Amino acid sequence: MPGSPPAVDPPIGDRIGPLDVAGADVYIETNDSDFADELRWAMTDLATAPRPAADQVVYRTTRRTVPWVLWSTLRDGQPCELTMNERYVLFHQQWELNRLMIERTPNALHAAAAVVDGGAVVACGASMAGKTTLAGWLASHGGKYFSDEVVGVLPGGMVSGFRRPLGIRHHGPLGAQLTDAPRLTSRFHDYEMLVPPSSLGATIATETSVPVRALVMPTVDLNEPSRATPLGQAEALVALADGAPGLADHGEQMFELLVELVGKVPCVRLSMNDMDQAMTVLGESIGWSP
Amino acid sequence: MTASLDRLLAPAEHIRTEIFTDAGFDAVLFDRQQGGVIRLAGAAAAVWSMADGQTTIAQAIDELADIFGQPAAEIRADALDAVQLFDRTGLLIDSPPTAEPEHDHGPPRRDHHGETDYLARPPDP
Repeated sequence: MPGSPPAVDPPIGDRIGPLDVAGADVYIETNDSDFADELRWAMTDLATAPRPAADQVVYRTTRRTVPWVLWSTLRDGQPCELTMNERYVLFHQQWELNRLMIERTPNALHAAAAVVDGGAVVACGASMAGKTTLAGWLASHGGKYFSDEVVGVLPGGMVSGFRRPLGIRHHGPLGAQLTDAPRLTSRFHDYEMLVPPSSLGATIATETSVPVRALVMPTVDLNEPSRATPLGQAEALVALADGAPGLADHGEQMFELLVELVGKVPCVRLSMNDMDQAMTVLGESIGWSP
Repeated sequence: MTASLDRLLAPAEHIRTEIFTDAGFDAVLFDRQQGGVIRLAGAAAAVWSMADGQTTIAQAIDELADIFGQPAAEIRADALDAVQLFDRTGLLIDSPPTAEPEHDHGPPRRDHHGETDYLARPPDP
């Protein structure tokens, strides 16, 4: 409108963090208080006390309204993404943390994990296979949440984790457990929500690394009863390799770790329908009582 | 390259092999150049398990015939098919340089099974 003063976007007013991402202290700065509130909630389980000796990574994620509404993210001053819409920005922020986690995890595996009886049930597979659902369900039904999206494979059949928020769908098994109603209508959510596992009643594992108890390749099949099928080591190894960005980066070392892993623990293909039933058949196949 | 029966079966230097016998007989190969894995099962895995750089194709056929109690003539066709597969995927040290990997996009992850099932069970130790 002629004569109106130009719109001015608010300055950076919120700083979230530090968040623990593979030992780095991560901060996220923003000029949108709603986004800051959403981040504080979603990233609750990644929060850590400041560690003076840790590497620091600072993201600056800002909302601009001139000439139109758009979001941008910088990492340590370097542009990551400059033209995001509002429903994408939270997921992009999480994606940036995933990328940082993979960068800092030498033998990264695309997997989710929960700890039961002191050992990690590691769920591997393609996107939408049910990894998050399985880990989130185990963590909120007697287990402890250990990781989603990235698991680091360590020597001796051990893994390290990433306590990132879970990406869940409103009508999925985990979505039904979310009782914090205001979060269901957030302007930063789309078909998926980012929720801290603790908000689903999950206990959060505090261990840095744990031994693997079982490797599980989940799938969702709503037409058949849940069932667990033992998987041969070769088939499991190939499935793990499929989700191992570390295999390209760290080659033979990662291959050796995966060979060691499939030789140490039971490998199971788990077809999930009803989740209680799925836990029962999984428990029977890995010697665990849900 | 023609699969002459006196040709030595020698894995290419960039291939590392892990043999698994817990569920049938499988070989999972790590390709150090491509950073990916290849799974051989059945006949292909059995023939690959003979690839030690000192065994010829003919010797591998005889040995497999002995292990599985099958006529060498029956084993031979599968063995030659397997060697062709190894050549196509550049797994042998003398595979033709023109061999095109089956994976043009991204690291390889291939499952190869033999056509017949008499080699599907693990050889006796």
